Amino acid sequence: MGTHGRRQKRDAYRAAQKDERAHELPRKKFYRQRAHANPFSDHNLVYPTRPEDMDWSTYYPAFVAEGQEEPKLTEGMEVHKAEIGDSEQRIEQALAAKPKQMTKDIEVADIGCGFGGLLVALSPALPDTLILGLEIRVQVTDYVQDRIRALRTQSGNNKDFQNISCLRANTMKFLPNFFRKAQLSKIFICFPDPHFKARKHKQRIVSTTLNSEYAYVLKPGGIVYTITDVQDLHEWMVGHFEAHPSFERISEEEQEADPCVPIMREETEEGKKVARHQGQKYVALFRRMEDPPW
Amino acid sequence: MSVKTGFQKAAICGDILFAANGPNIYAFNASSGAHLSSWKYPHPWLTPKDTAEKVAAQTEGKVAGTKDERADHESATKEDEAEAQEDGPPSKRRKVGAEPGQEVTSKKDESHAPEPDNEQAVSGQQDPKTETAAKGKGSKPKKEKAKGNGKDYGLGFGKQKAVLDIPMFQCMTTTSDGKYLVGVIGSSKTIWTFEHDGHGKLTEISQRPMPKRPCSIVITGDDKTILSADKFGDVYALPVIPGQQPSGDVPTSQEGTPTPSTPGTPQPFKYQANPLTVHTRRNLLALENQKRVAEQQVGFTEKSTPQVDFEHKLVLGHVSMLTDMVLGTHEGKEYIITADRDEHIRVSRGLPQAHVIENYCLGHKEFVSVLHIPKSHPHLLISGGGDDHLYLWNWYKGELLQKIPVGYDAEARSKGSPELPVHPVAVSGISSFHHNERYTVIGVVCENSSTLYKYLLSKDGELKFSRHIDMMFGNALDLVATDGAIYVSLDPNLSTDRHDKLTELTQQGQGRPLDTENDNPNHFFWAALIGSSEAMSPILPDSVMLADDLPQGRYDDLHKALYTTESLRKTGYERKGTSNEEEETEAVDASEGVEGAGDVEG
Repeated sequence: MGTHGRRQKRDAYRAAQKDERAHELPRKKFYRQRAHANPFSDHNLVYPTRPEDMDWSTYYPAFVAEGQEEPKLTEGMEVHKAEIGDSEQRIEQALAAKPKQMTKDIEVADIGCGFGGLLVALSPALPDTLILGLEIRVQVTDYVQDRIRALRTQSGNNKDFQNISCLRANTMKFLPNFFRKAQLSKIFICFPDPHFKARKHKQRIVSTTLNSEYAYVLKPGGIVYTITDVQDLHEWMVGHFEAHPSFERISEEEQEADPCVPIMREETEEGKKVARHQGQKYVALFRRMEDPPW
Repeated sequence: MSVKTGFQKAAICGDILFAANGPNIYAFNASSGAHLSSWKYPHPWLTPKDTAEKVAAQTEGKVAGTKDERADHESATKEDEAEAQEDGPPSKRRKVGAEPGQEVTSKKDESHAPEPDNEQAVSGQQDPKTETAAKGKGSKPKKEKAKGNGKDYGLGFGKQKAVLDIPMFQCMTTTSDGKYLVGVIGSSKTIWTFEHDGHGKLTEISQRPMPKRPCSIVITGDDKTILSADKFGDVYALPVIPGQQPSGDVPTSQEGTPTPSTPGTPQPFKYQANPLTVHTRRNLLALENQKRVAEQQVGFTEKSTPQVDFEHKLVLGHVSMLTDMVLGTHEGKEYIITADRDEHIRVSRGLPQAHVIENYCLGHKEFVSVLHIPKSHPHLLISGGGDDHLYLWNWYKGELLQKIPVGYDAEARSKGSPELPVHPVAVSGISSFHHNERYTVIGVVCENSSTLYKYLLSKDGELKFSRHIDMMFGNALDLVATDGAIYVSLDPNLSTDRHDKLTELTQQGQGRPLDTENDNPNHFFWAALIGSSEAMSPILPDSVMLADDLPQGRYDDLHKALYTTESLRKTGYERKGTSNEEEETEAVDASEGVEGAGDVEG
């Protein structure tokens, strides 16, 4: 009964969030979800078959090329709305429509964006760049989407926070479904799940084999930003990126000169939490090198 | 009624057709059908089910001593006694009769190896036996159980019950010079290498148990390296002949896996968190506990995977179950093409640059299970899987060229007939031969179907449906092509009146069994699609006494072991059901405020 009541409250809150309270920042307590998700399971994911099939227009409405027809929502989709999460419905809709031309491609990905702190902080810092947060937990994705909508509404100028968005995805499996080869210039991996147990290491977001996929979607010269409060994980990430022939570690000097580094260190939700607990933060940046001749 | 087993896997080497019946390999002359030679698995491999269960019960009953016993069994000192147990039990364990002087892992490893078997993943939480077995192992209950659970992750078989392991070759391939044949016995996850004398006679040279069950193997163009793709999504390179350097192996290369993920090296126990890492009360408690336990068990090492003490190197990986792998060549360079259950086809460079992903061929809506590059068109890739179409790609560019119907009503659908009811299709084999300057003949078979779909690939790369051929005698298990023919191996179990049909076919002049005088309906069937005649010539290798009858009751197990493609499909439940996630959400609602250290947040 208890959970039933809570769910009702949550649904009511979130329905209101979409309409009358659209300008209000969402409250996290209505979007809680278990912290860990199994990246090997099939879940209930919706993803494009190919990057070209994805319609980004509802995610970045300010960056839609002009002179295109509005996509028509079929009635079935409206009915759907109540049944599935907002983020799910949105991506299904984005896949059903004929993709609209965008004026820009996404260039920055925040893998495991959590509650979106980094996205919100990066938005003014990289105003002309499209930034996408990818998060595997449905509830958390909904939260970030509501948060971005509220921020956009509050600013009221059709300019602020238009360059950030978030969708639900399992990047360990489906990164190449969303991004073309060499599309991205930056990938952020902030406070990933440490998976302490050795038998869970395959679930870590950084591994020799996954690094090949990051290299695939990154342009040569593109950068992977990592931060964690777990020393062992830091060493793991450094070890795996340094061992990967497509990446080299960026020197500390250059790292500290990068304007994104302080944002990542200070503005992520988890970064703030670690700071509150006086924890350590380990940062490492890696550059995607040119492929060797073949 | 006895049940016969078919040839579940075949490989062609010049004019020699190798066909595996369970773990036994028979060599035939492909054009005459004459039996040349046989290689027999050194242990009995089919035991009646009741025996198997009895043995299983015994094994589970006295699990406390299992490890030592197993080590004994596998050391082959009491081989005869042990054999029944070796081969019968429903085992979540490897069944390799270790033989002195061969390259198998040490006894110690043997005893560990069985635990993280994929079968455990298969059985998952559904199988109470796993649970029992885990509990039973009094000495290290926690570890064993943890291992079992660790394997539950959605590699696609969540709802399927464990199959009693029947050892059988699930992959077979030969080096291009025909000197070696390499095969994988799935139940033991072991790669077997044989030397081939050129006339069908095989001599075993090594057995190498892999950390995870291989699902596809290929040999690189220089005949030096085996690439093994496994169900955990990884591809390993290992030398064809153990001890030799695999191709493209540059010792100074940094490509190798850093130590943490190298299978087998036991890591000394190390705290991965410290009081500054974890924030919640619960996490602090957990850390305290960890410390206490560690103090009690000095010298405890966290063991991850069974040790694999032969040379093998991780070259690439997907976070998804791999289903097939082929090698392509473009401008003189080799590429590794891998397919997974999540609809991807990935094109990576060959060794030693396999870490560079060149492209993806994306377009499948369902799992991909078979990849094929016609020899006549090395730039083209034909892929099939759970979709009711074959896909034709320019694999180097990642460009989809054509989609063409396959499976039920393929003929009607390829002529553009109006919507026909959709049937699930699981393509299980594609093969081809170059017929003449104008055409290459492509043969395609689907799981649980006795239909051979024939396509023609024109010189300029257009794929056309030609016809379908009903092989009648049974479901197609595998198909291979020589330079002028496609051979399809048929499952003899699913057709009761096949003998009559065979006779009828012969009378119609469509084909001729090789030796009708001695024709025995219990023998194995091959259908061959030869040249343009499109006639089917069943080949009956009568001259060889084939395996024993399958004991009563094992048929279901055999069927499960043979028909695995369709199970790759994501079910509607997985697609639409959200109940699991809802539960997760609720669980958090109930304990609001509890957060793990280092959630994926930013």
